[in-house]
Amino acid sequence: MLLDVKNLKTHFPTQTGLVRAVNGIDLQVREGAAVGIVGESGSGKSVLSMTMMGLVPSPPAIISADQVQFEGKDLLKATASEMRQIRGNRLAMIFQDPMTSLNPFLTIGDQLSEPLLIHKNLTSSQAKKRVIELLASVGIPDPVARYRSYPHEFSGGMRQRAMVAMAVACGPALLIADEPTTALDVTIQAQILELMQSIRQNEGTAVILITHDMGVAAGFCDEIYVMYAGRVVERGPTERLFAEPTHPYTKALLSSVPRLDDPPGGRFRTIPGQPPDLTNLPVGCAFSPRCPYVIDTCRKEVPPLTTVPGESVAREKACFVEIRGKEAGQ
Amino acid sequence: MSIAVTKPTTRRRAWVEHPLSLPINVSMVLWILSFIAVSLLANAPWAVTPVMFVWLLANSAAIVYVGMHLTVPLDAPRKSESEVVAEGTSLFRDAMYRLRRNQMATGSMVILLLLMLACFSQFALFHLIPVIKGKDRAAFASDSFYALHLDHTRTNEGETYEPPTAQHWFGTDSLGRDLFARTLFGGSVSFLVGIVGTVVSVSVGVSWGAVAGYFGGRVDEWMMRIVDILYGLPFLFLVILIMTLVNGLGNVASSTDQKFAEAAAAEKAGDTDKANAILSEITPDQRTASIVTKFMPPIVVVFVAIGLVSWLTMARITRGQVLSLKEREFVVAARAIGARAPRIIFRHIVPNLMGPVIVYSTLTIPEIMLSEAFLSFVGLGISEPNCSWGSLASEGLAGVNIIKPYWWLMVYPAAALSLSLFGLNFIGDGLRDALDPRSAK
Ligand SMILES: Nc1ncnc2c1ncn2[C@@H]1O[C@H](COP(=O)(O)OP(=O)(O)O)[C@@H](O)[C@H]1O
Ligand SMILES: [Mg+2]
Repeated sequence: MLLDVKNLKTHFPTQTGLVRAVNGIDLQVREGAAVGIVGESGSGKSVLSMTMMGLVPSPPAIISADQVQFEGKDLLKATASEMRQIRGNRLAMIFQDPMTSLNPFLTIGDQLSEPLLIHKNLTSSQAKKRVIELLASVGIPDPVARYRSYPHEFSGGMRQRAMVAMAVACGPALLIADEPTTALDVTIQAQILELMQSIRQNEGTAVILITHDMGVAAGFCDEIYVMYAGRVVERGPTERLFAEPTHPYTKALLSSVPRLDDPPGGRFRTIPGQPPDLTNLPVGCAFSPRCPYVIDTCRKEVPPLTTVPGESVAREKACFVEIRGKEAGQ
Repeated sequence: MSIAVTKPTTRRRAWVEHPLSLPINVSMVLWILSFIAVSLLANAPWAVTPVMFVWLLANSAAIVYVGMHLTVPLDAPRKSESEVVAEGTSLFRDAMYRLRRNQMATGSMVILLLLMLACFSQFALFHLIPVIKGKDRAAFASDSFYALHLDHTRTNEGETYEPPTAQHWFGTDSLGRDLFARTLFGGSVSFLVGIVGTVVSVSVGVSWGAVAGYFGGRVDEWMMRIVDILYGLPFLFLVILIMTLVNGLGNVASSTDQKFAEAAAAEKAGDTDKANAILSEITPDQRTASIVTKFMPPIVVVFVAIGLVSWLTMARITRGQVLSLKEREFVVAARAIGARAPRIIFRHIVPNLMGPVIVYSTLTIPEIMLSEAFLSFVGLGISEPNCSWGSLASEGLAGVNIIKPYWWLMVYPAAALSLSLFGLNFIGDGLRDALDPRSAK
């Protein structure tokens, strides 16, 4: 197992109370796998990825876990300098907004050279050569001239390509992409996903794709984790999870995706109710106030993540109710 | 958002492509040639007027040259703000465009450059010519260009307190020294103090503020508490303290140097015992003082002392900026590639601070020049026969009396000082407006 996270929690003490942004997450990623993490905005996806990268300052944040094993090393027990050697080298990250995640005052070449200079002990001319290769490999035309460009001279799609090139510069084992295409328009989105897919196939880099877009996740990932209020509520192989969701929240997410056969002018299907207040989670299942299948137990106990019975593939859900084949309210 | 591949902008080489590049380049060459000519012909009385004429001409051309690059390009049609923004230029280029449109600021830049050029030319020539000609300052003929217009130390008993004349354009002082040369030299000193002091102040202030802001927590608290305490101490008290300490050190050093000289003289005379006796009297502390002052002449101390007490505001401004910058995504991205704190602070954060830092620096230069003027005014700054605008104004003030008002002694240096202070303030204001996108109109 490349990454094995058990019971990871990231809590932020704030004036209004403890924000339980990540509240006991288990996550496994095999070498070369493509894992998706989906969930509404505010469900803790970004905090989860930042915590794994060791980028959440603690204190103030309170971080705990049974383990965060990466390539045989526990990241939570690693020292700051060990962590720096892993970051950008074995474990890399792509951010949501390519407009703001590049430094406006440094040339693309200078920024892309940085991970190589930091981790690979290259001379600056070796790094330059490598960066030009990288720019070419992520499909940036005229990389020699582009090496000296500033970020504002790049379009959004090209910046995200540059960010991908920077993330994979050192040949990481795992790439965490936090909503890498959310800020891009649809055609560019497809290009970037394709680029990441080809990197995965050619380099064998495992990818965790974080998104709130079920369509993107379906197209890219082998396995999907559904997050709600800082917890995993369901995980399973993409096809099965889409074909027959076992958690009411997954089902609601899937049915809120607009479809071509929807009647034109109809209302968008949304999930009724409010997203949870992370400082003040309900007793029991966090989704219970919005859940059409809710039973009494749901309001008393937190459902544990358990294996879904009667499946040929490994699936898990955190729900007391069997919803397969049932309609809401039955 | 456009997906079109934008062409990388080729850096425009204005000095080649500008329609007036030929005459301007010729005058730049002329300026350099006249600089050399002044150096070579400095002792020939016949050459004074023509060389001076060419020199002034070339100086003006140089100013026009620089001024043109600062102002709106002559060939470019006026663009509206929205057009400039639509071109997708960087924030910085936008700002430069706005700055060029600000006539007060560009006018000030031209005047300041003229002043600085004149001052630094005198400074350079004053030191260079004797070296090039290989003779002593005193050996130049009294009617030579060098003696008349460049040597600010040359005294002339017959010409004390002369009002401005064709020969002494700004008049002479109580020792018959040419006030024109002294004003130019004083300008170099004032500008140097301003610039070096600002460099010290900016380097210390930005580093301090950036480290405090980036690390936050305890580090921040302690570092900013130190700034608060220093803020509480009166600024002049600190400078005067430093200057007094250094003056004391200087006194020790000069008496030590004198002993060394005596010992060397005794040695030469063959009296080794006496030489050893003198040397053994010198304590290690005195030796240290002597060495330290060799490396830190008092003028440098003025620079450093003023710089060291004027970094506090810079540190506060920087810290505030860093607090918000460090949350920006590109800083998080830099941490995500495993960069260490120094790299993040000085490579990623500090360049992004340049806007406020540049603005504040242009406002710090005049502030420091004024502090130096004040220190010299109260007799703590630069020492004779060197001078600064502050010390000249102070001498000039002593020369103002009702019976015989030697007005020129004060008017010229004070006017030059005020002109520069105004100019720098206008530039600072212009920069602040230009770098603030909200001020766009
Ligand atoms: N530093 C912080 N302090 C307090 N709360 C935080 C902090 N960072 C994130 N949160 C909270 O954690 C929750 C999860 O945020 P995030 O992980 O960004 O969600 P998303 O799934 O949209 O990426 C949000 O409610 C957010 O307000
Ligand atoms: Mg997010």
